[in-house]
Amino acid sequence: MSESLLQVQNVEKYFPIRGGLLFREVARVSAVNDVSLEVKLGETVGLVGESGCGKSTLGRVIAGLYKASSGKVIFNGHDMANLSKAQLREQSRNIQVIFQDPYESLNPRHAVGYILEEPFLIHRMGTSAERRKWVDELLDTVGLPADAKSKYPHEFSGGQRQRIGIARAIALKPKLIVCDEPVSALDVSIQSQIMNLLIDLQRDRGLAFLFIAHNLSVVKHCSDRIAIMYLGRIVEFADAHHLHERPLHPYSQALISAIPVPDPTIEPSRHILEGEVPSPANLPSGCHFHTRCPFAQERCRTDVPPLRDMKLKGEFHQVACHFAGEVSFAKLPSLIK
Amino acid sequence: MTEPLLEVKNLQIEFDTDDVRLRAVDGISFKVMPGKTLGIVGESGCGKSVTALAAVRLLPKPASHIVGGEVLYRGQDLLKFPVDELHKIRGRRISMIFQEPMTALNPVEPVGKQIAEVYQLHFPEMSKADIKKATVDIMEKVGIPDPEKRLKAYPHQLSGGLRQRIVIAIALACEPDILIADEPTTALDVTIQAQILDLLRTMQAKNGMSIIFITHDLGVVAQLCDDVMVLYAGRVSEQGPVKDIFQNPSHPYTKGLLESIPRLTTEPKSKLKTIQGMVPSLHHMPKGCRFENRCPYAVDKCRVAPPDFSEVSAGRWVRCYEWQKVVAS
Repeated sequence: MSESLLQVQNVEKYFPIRGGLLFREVARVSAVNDVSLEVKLGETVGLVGESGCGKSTLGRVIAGLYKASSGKVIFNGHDMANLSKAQLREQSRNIQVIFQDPYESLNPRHAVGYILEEPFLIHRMGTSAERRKWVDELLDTVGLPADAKSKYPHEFSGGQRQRIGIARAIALKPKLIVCDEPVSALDVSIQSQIMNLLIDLQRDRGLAFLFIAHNLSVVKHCSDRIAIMYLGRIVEFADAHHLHERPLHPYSQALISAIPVPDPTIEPSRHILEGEVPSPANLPSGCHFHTRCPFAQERCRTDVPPLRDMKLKGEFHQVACHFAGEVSFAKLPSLIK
Repeated sequence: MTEPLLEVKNLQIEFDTDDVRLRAVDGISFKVMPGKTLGIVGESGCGKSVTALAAVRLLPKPASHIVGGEVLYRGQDLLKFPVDELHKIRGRRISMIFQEPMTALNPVEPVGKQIAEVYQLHFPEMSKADIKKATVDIMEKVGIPDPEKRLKAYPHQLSGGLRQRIVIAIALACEPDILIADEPTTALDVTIQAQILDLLRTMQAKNGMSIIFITHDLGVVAQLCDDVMVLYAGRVSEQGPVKDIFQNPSHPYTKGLLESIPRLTTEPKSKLKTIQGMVPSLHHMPKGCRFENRCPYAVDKCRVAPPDFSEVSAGRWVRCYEWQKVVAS
């Protein structure tokens, strides 16, 4: 397939918990834990996981909104940590973000025309007449009327606001857009409109997406490859259809079976995981999933399973489980009630 | 035929805004049968939560007004009940679970005390020891590990899933006839959602209560409910058995909704069907059918007056002039 656009290499991100008299670091919340990931030019990589698994933090590290505690983010051949300010500004044009909440990610005091013009102003592009033309084109691209320019964000519905957020993200013709839960705050009938818009934009402009969401059916619909995260680590990374048909990690298997299918003739899921997600401030040893895994053995408590290639039928498939390929909920009759 | 446990007839609710009074719920009727689960679906602002709150008279005062209709619980109209009589039913016969378990619990009281309160209120004759035993029992039933230890825990010390289990324990403490669950899993992760839905199914199988489940997730409806009522802009679009409606929707809105959700079997990156446009605002409701401006089946008369209910099959109703075309397409 096509060339590599983004490489995330062994990235870690932790947040210090400070306390005590001298406000020293007393503990750490480890949000992203030794993650490596690649996004190719023009593809969509879906990043799925439950709240607190570090998917948004990883998205923010990639977008340059957080600094990685260790590891490298290589974008377009540049190590983002080693760039000068001017180079960083130049490269940052190529990575944009669409946020979950279109109510909070647009400045309520600015008219939409200004919100969309601002990226060009920051990067000192065009004359004022050119910029106005560009703003009109952007509004047209995302399906908003031209008179939206003079209105303020509160005058729009959630779906329209998300369109404004998308217009802002594509303004500088980026190569990669980090979409952080772009449709999860929207009503069902609006979600499909926004997803169609994103898919069209990708086809027309060759954009790559890192599509972060907790809804696996949404992610599967728009992704070429999907990475599943659990407590700061990627547990499985595979071609989208392959992951759905043959999930190898027990967590992926449980996650896929937990999605309520909108078809009453299908029996509800029976692979119900026991217990709660442990706190990222107090991570389990070994495989992070071992506390909830029905297949866990002694080795899982001590050794961290590396993300390894499974190369099934020539498909791309990586999984971080000592017993991948051997364990399956289907082989666990005791769980089926 | 069995009598419905709860029957809502032609409910109409209005809200005061700065300048005008707006009708948020316009003529909603439904029945809840014993031991069955009714799903109420619709998008934000369609009136689904308001309907449920009105049924137990928990609407915010003084901004809201129930201007018409009846809520019959075992044949008696709850809307006409004196308040102290209502207290005997609410929490005892009909209980509620809300979406956000953090705001539904009192942050400055241990969870054990909050559960015990239900028993103190509804069974004043119970001794302290009995109440403690009942509290631990119900916590165990809803799947809280180490209930004895958690009695003294405060809500912030528990995870979202455990908090929601506490809320469920409070709701189920008195073994109610009806549980009204308003988006109880929306704030939770999918694997925790699966646990909670499984818990509700198990509890229902054990004590035969009825559930009114309010959600916007059609997947949850398909997996949990027997009947469904689809609301749009304060009115019922269609209602009836889940299996029939999901297999062959007869209202263009339901059809559009079901077609617009990506499924794991949808061709990747294919164009999803959409419902064009947006829900009309309460300030500018059209005179006729409220879905008309987004409806691919709309005809002239849709603009003139709202359609009445048509019976598609036994127990299945739709409000659309063109429903036969929708079913056939």
